[in-house]
Amino acid sequence: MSNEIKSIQMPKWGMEMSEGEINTWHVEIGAQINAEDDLVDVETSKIINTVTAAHSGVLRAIVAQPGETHDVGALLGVLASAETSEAEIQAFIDSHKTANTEAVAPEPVAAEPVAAPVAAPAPQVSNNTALAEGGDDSHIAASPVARRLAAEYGVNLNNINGTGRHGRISKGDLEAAVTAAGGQLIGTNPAAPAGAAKHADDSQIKATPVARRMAQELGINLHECRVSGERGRVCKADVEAAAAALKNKLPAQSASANTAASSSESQAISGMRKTIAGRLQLSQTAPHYRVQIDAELDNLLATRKQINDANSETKISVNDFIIKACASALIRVPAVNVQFDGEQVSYFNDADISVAVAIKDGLITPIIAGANKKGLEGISHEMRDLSTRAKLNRLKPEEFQGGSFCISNLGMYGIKQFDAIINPPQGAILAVGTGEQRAVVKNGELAVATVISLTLSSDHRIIDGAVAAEFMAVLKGFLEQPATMLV
Amino acid sequence: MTNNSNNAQVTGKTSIKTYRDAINDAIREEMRRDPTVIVLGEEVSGGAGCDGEDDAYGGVFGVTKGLMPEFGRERVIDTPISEAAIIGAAAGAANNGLRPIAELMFFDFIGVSFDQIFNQAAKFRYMFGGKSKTPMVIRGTVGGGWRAGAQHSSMLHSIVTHIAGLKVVMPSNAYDAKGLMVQAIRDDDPVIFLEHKVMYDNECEVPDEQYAIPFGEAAFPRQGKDVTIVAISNMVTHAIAAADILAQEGISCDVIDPRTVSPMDDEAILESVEVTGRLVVVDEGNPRCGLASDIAGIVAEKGFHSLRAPIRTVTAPHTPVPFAPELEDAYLPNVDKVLAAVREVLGA
Repeated sequence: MSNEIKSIQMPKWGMEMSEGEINTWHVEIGAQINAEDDLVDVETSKIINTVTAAHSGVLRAIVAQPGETHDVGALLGVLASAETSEAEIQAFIDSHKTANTEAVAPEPVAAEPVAAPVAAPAPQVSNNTALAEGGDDSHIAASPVARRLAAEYGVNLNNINGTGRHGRISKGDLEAAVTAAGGQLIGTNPAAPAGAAKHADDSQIKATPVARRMAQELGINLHECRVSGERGRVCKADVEAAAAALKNKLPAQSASANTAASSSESQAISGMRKTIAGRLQLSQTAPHYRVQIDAELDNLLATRKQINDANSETKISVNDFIIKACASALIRVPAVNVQFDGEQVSYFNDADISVAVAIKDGLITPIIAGANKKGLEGISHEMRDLSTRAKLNRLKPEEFQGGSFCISNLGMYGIKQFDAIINPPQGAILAVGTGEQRAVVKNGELAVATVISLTLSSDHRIIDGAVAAEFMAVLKGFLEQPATMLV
Repeated sequence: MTNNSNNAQVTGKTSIKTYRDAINDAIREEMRRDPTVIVLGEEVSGGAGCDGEDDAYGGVFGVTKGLMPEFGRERVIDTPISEAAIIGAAAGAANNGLRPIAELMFFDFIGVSFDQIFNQAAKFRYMFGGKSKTPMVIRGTVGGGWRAGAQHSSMLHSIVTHIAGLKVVMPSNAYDAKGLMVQAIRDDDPVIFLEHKVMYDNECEVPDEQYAIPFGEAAFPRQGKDVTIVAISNMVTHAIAAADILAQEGISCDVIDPRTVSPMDDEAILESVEVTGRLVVVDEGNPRCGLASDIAGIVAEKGFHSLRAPIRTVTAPHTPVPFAPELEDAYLPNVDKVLAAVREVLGA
């Protein structure tokens, strides 16, 4: 009995989940747990969900603390009987750590001064699309630092000119290429130097001779440097880091006296923001083009009024009509109802429509699955449910992962028309503006109509212009004559 | 003396002192400060048992001169000619609360006391889980150029550097010698303190007050951007001379004196090589498994991508030290050999 020790592990919710952040534990150490009890809330890149107990027992240890991020499969806590000794529990935790060191949380001890800056190199290179392209670059001669940075920043070495030793690609070459592409390699950023110490005598600060010399040359006070050298000394890397920080900071200071703004620069991005950034950057590999069309909504609005008037419980929105119309159009033009992973195109029988929903600190795209088979009322109910739960971070992975087409609607902000970026691996996204009264010409005469501007961004690798145009024409038809969707 | 590094903060008076007197100063002041500090070795006082001959020698090099009259024979002990006994007694005394400074006269004699050093003193703290400490200093003279023959001229520092548990100190000037000796005496581990016999009369400005130089922190007696020259003990003298000649040609050198070879200030060397991209290591020892190849190995392993030219080492050849003056001169590294090596790594 006493050796029945069970682990509570980081679950894998959906294919994309590789790690999760511990939010709140619902139970305390020593609590009797029954199977299916709520244990801990975990935030992934898109949702917060609750881990439930797979076994019953006493919660003997909480390994993963709130705020920590752990890989899928990592040990979060330990369930065992009350008789199990502390030593056995500890041995179990230790064995888990050695078995899967990757999963060990970044404990405070691990936050060495040297390691700390490395934690920040999220892929923040913008516009480096061209740099990312190309085939296998393993044969390209490059310094290890350059190769490591290239991997971190998604740069293909085929695109870099090597000017280092023996024509090798150096770190400098990589920096130059990334800068030329409008990006920036994130340097090793130490804590912002304290300006007050700038003029203080630093002869008492312990530093390596090279560091001291370099600081003098660069006009950096050793007080402004972190201390990460051996034997408690400021080392050369510390001075270089301080110099980089100073360099990054100075223009910002001269541009505005707002120091608060510079402090927000170093804020780590949330898991969701990381996912959004990663996915949309991925999207840059898709050659986008846009087709735009206007549709008159007067018929649609009349139909909507009829439906909503007929049942006080029902509140169909224009957006619900657009979802339904898109679903119908996708079935009519299936070449737009696709996913493309760079190698293979997937065609779908149903229109699974992702709808972008703005939520706190980000956005998410819950899916109306099989929208072509659903009525307006069903779509309306489902959309309201999904967007409410999205705002509470309570969506299940399958409710927002996938989708064969995406709609982004900014009409509620009065946006007339905009372009959207494709949500890969989907093939297209529809950007919906506001429905507004505009002057239109009908039969040679000026008239007033409620018009909406729709813009389709398509991935030209799989959707050709004529196909996109056909889709838009069909969509316009459904929106202007909603009754035809019934056919 | 230029020591552009983290030297102890000294505010008081300084005077010009020899390497020999600087060490003597350090020992005397520590003996005044701490009654547990004792000195033992062959002829460290001299004249034992002979009327009027007390303190006749103060060690064959005169380093411990004047200590016996001040501190008495209880604390300045002339021993029989048995290195095993000297080191064994010192290790035992260190384990029992004293801070002995044992003198091996010529470090070439380490062989007959090697078990006491490497298999006893070096391992006590480790084997007893930190419950025992062995605060002893083993002084010895090293190096050639003294026409002393093969058995009194060796550079055996690499042998002790190899042994975990020992700290190995090799001062290259009087200032460092005093500060490092103070640190060696105060250190709780066995420290091998190697004095180069041709440097005893070298002088420089030395503070009168006591100061300790921490172990593992290199000095940069010359600073430059083109080549890094790491040199040890008396070789620092040659490296500085070479750097000064090169400076006139517009070639600037970082001359690095590690001061202690265990612990070794790898960081200072690697950082300098990051700047210069070129490394020459000057060591008077034999080349195989020596300190020069050790430093070259560290840089090859951790600083390879900073290097713009192959590393060069300047060492003695792999033979014992010759007795014939012409051969001994040819044997030892000198300024010309350092200059040639620097020019080679510069491709000049």
